Amino acid sequence: MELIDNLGLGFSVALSLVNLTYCFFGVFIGTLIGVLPGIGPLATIAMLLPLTFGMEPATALIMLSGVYYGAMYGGSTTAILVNLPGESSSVVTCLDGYQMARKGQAGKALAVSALGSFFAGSVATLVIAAFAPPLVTIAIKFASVEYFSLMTFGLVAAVVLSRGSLLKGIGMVVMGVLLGTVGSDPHTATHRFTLGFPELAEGIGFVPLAMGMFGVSEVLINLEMKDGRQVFTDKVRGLWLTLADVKAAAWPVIRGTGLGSVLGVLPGGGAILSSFASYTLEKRLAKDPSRFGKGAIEGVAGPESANNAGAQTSFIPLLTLGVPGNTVIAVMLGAMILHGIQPGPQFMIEHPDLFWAIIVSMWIGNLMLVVLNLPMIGIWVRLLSVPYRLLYPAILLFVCIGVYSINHSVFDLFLVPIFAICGYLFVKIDCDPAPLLLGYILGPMMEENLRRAMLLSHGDWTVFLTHPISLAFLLLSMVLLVLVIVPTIRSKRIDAFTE
Amino acid sequence: MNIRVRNKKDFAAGAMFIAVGAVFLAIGSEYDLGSATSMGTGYFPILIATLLLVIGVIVALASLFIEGQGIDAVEPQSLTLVLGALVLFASSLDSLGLMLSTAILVFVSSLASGRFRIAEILGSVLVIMIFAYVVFAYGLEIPFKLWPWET
Repeated sequence: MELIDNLGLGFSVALSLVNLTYCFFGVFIGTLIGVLPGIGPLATIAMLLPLTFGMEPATALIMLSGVYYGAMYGGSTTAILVNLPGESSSVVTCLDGYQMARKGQAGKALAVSALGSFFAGSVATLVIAAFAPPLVTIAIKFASVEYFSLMTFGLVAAVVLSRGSLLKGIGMVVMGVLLGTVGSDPHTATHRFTLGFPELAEGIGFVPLAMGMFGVSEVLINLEMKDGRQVFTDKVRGLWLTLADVKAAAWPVIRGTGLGSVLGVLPGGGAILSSFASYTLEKRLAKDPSRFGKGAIEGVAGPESANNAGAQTSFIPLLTLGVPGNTVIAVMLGAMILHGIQPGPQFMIEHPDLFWAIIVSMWIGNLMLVVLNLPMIGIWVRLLSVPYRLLYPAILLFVCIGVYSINHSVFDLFLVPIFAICGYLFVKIDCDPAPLLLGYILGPMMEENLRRAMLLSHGDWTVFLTHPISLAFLLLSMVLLVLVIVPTIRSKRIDAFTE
Repeated sequence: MNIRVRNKKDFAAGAMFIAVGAVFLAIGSEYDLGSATSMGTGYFPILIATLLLVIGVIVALASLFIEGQGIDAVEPQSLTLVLGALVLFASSLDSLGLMLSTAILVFVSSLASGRFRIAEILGSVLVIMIFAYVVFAYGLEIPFKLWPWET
């Protein structure tokens, strides 16, 4: 069967010593930053990007993707033991996971979370392997018109799922697209908006922007919150699950996996949406919903599986269409471009070994993570007691060195504080910077596709509506917008984030 | 009717959008526009900048009528210290080298937490300097100028 051949190809590349080592490195760092609140996969992947320059593309992408789904595992640990989400996708795990810890069931929560995540990760790998090829055959027929509408849909979805008001979210996306135009006009290579700075000829550096707006601004915000943390560092015993636990957790894990696999593929989807949706589903399906929020094992099993499945399947649009569905994947896209890979449907056809190696290494990474997480819990827990004031100067240093090592440009270093203050102010006025980053990354591609579409249609704007696939994407975008404007849905959106 | 800024956050956001849109429009209008069929350098940016301007106006106007929260206070000390530390690092990297710039960065930014004792800060500086050397200069072999006396 073709699937087996493809997986075999993937294993042959992924099982090389170099790739295995860097896979481990990636999931290890992922778990580490997942455990530590205040630094997330987005900032970390952006930071590690410059360090991957010397590597083979396969190695680089394997390591970086390991950081993403590794962080999902790590985030659960902090959520359960400290009631602090290490990652935004672990917010839901805090609800019941921490309560389980308070009842002395921390071990069970951690175990169910790790095993559920492993199940989800394995299934998600198969899902990607099964669905990517057919998707590619469809996507390869996409022309500029379809791509433009697809990207528009992606941006709308990102806005719909962002914090803050819808209108401000749209404003952020548009501003991001605008920032993406700084640099050289893709067609004529004329300098645009560079204000006389030759360093801006290639555009505003992606890494300084991401690091400043997400990494450093995170530090700035954290420094303002001076509350202490209460860590449940008593010995975590009982990492075993009884048969009753397994029975209780089995269906939530399966449902969470399914939910995550579907929601992860959607633009704007991924780990966060999947975990929230799973929690809501489990609560609704439970025979006794009042147990939720007090330590229901289903409330941990479902979301933890969902966030892992969601994180992995969110790679599908990237690998098959070349369009990122969320900001972390957008950074992965940046990584691919930096390594000279042109993302898009032809990626699978031109680099099948790389394509399948990435997919297979996700499963390998999951395996490593179960091993890393269960026995090494003690170490991660001890890490949590490192006070933030010792961590953040080191984080700042990593940011600086990472940014500098891309172009050896001091100019880039000066961009970081500029974007940091921007990111900080954005949060103060309730504007989510994530849509801006997505707009910034997709902007140049959208311009290119728009230009080509208009060229081919001789200036006819209706072409976006006459091509059926394009029309479908635009209609979907409208539907999403309408769904959010309707008050009941909107309050659910806020509820999901404040619960 | 009483016109006042009811939602300060949104008003600020709207103002920001308007400002950014206006700046890009101003600079962009000097570029070759072209037409829809054959887009010039300025076509797409002007299109987007106009859109941003419109959104900004809507957001700002809405903030005059819909109630919202005020903006939380800004804490200038930790801000200036962290950002200042970054600027100092950037300024001194080429002249003083990685080791001293790192020391400055760690020292100045550590002050921002307000909970530090000098001994702790100096210890932190030393540890991070050693770490930086081992990982970046020695381990990853990133070609940095390490000390001021190197070229």
